[in-house]
Amino acid sequence: MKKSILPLIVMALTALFAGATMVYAAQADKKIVSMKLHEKEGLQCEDCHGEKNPTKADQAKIYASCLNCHANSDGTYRGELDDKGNGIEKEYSESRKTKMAAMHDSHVGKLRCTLCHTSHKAPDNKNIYCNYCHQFDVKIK
Amino acid sequence: MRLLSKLFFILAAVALVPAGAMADKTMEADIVVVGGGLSGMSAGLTAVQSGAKVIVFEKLPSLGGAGNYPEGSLAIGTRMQKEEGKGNRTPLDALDKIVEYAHWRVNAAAIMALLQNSGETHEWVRNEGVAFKGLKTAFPPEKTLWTWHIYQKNGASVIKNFYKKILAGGGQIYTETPVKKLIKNKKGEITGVEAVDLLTGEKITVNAKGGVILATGGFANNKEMIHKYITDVQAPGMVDVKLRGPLIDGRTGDGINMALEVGAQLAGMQTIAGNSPYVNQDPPIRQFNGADYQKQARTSLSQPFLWVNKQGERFYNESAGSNFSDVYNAMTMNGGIMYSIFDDNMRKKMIKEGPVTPFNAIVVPGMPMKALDEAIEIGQKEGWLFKANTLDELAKKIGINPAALKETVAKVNKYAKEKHDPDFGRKPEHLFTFSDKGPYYAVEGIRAYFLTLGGVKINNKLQALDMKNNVIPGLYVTGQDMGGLYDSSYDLLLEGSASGFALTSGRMAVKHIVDTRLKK
Ligand SMILES: Cc1cc2nc3c(=O)[nH]c(=O)nc-3n(C[C@H](O)[C@H](O)[C@H](O)COP(=O)(O)OP(=O)(O)OC[C@H]3O[C@@H](n4cnc5c(N)ncnc54)[C@H](O)[C@@H]3O)c2cc1C
Repeated sequence: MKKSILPLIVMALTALFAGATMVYAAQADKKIVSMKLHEKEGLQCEDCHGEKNPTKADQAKIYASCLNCHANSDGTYRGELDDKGNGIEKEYSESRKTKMAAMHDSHVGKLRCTLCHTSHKAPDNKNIYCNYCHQFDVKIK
Repeated sequence: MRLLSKLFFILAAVALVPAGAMADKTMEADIVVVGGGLSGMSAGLTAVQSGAKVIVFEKLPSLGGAGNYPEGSLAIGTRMQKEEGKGNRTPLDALDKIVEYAHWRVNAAAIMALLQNSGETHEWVRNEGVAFKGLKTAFPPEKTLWTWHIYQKNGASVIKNFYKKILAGGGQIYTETPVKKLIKNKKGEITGVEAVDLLTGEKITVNAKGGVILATGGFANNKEMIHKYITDVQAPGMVDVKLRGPLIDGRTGDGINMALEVGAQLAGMQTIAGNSPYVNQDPPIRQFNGADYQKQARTSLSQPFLWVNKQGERFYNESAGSNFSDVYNAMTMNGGIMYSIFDDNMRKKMIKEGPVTPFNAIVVPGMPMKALDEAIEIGQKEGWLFKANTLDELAKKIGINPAALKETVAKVNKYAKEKHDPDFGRKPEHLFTFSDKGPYYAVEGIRAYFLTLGGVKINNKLQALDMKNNVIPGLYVTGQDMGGLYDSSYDLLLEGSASGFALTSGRMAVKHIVDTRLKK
């Protein structure tokens, strides 16, 4: 099993779907290609992965790390909130119409950040999770 | 797109292997809810508010399932009905209509229980702060039951409101964690579930003291099961039916199959909620929530100008083109395909004045169809819309006998002149004369569906029944996993019944568990 092609298949599939489980080849060649601010701020592997030499992406740990810096007061990240704790709606273009939405205060629950926001590969703007139903004209930051 | 969602599941499954055998985790709960859609959220919040320890499992990263879509839900005996002066219908009035529609070939006792609890459920949803627009109906006043309570922001607003309160109230929600198996003890009782965390590969076992609630949304997105169970689809020569659902769709029959494994009986498996006609463009859901040209192409398809089958003959009363359930059935009787024919004056009329009959609340009379020409252009390129200068040429393009098509058009012109349709009873104001000059247009229509209506056989407490019609203790069934509530068709007169029954069933199942199994 050790030298089978299974990990390769996994990697190929992974590349096709933003944010799913990662299986790393070598941790050293993991460049930050997206969310470059993280690099500029000098973040180290363990700041996101919760360990110095990660060999795989433990999504639960990573989600917790995102929330270390990006959480609202209730411990989730739901974007800018009003006094009542509801996401403030902004204008988006959807199917060529203007639509008000609080993108991060999603109606489908606490979505894992890495479904959209990835570090080691370019964001997959063609398959933004919301757009499996919606058609927001947005780009992932 | 669909491929992608499939890959997602394959990936998730494959990823488990290199992760190796993770340490298993065991948890204790009063109630386990399998599925985080509309019935799952209803069950989850009812449990939290009853003081029961609840764990909800959802296999996708997102909650809500199909439950994000409903425009409105059925309820009877509500404040809203009184406020709007439409409150004189009773559960018995509704039941009468249902059993008549289904020739009593339904579980009337379970339906009655759902109807009787629908009003209280709606008041609860409203009191939780979900915003409503009011009542709406697609039926004339003398016929309607005024059951359809329309949300300001669709079922999505219920999901959003409820999931937050479940978490705030101490309930647990695990996403990306499908339940794989029901656990049955020696006495035949369901005592818990096994689930798998797709991200870590960890196997999670939960012991559920009060019981397990199936809320996995039916099998709309399981092609194999659709072909196995749905008789409409198996008929010879039938053009395949398409799912009008989200592009990532977890409704693959898991709940029903897990119930089968523990000896449950199924009921009403032959029925889907058809929704037709849809333009033969993939994915159909975009005609529901996509670009204007897609919505208007779909609208042009259901206009009362002229519908023909493959033989070039009429087969339906085009005035009733908005009754998506009846249209589905009529198309099923005609090979699952149709063509909607119009001429250039009719095209201009749609662009200027809007449709004659509405497409849901999406494109309605008075709403100019300004994107129709774009639809005509794209449709010709993609091969679902045809344009020709003569009827002969048009018939050839769509593979219909030209003589038959011309004869049908001549007949309709005669009926228009006489203002009377003796064949199908189209309304006089819907009888339009075809010009003897082209161009003419044909839109190809196929059948779509959005729900499955069969599932696990239940009693009126929503408990699963085994092959001998005995209760399987500890196993409850909700939403689209419930079987036996529909006969051959989705009864549109019960407006909002699918989502209304989903909400009500989740609540009823929890209340029964709390009042009986957790009381002991
Ligand atoms: C486009 C569209 C429009 C609709 N409009 C209306 C309307 O206007 N009025 C109306 O009454 N109804 C409407 N409906 C129907 C309504 O959405 C359903 O009746 C309702 O959502 C059913 O609730 P449910 O809980 O059974 O299933 P869902 O809400 O679909 O939830 C099922 C959930 O279970 C999850 N799941 C599946 N398997 C597993 C597993 N093994 N482990 C964990 N989780 C699992 C799924 O991923 C899904 O999230 C519409 C449906 C669609 C698709």
